[in-house]
Amino acid sequence: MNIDVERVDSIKKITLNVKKFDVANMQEIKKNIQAEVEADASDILMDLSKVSFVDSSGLSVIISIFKQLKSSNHQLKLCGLQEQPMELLEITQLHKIFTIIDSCNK
Amino acid sequence: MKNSLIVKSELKSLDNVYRWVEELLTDEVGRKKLRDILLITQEMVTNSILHGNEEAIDKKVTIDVEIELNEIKINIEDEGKGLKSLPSHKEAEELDYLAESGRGLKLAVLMTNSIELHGNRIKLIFNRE
Repeated sequence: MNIDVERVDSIKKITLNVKKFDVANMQEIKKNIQAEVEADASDILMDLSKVSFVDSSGLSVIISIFKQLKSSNHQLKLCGLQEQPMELLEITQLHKIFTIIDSCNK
Repeated sequence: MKNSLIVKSELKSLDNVYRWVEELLTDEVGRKKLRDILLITQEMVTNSILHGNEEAIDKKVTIDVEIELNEIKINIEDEGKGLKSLPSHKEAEELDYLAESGRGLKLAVLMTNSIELHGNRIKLIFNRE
């Protein structure tokens, strides 16, 4: 399974178990996360600490989940970002839109 | 020095391209520059596989990496019809933050030092710094 799901209080924590989150695995990861969102609406903390590389397709999945949650008044938070995923968010200006937290254990 | 890699038009080729470029350039550029080069190479090879060659398994994508004194030049060529044009720097800067597609070429314009389109071949130039 490319994601792990854990409920922490009212937040669902989804951990991505891949090093590369890209066009090659984005469809499957998107399907799995969307199933979680649809099964049980709640805020989501996406743990990216294992992900060292995100391309524009991986980014599009994060945007899609962000929009899906926002439409039901829920929030997406990202944590554990390594250098390259953070740089990608900065150059696309999405670091201003997404909620990014350092620690995934809060 | 020029190195070449030819891959099939399937998405699983991307891991091979990533590892090959990483191995070639790890000792040639800084870590931030390497991350930029790996991202943009992946974006352009993805475009070649999906849109240029339309995932036709008999069609190939060729990646050439030239390591020069001040620059890294990367040519990516497919067997498709080629792009008509590239976004301008201004268009690339006007990113629609929440669009879910169309970001790869704009990132290439923003993150390379120079980019050239020659039909079905795209040339990326990165300063080594």
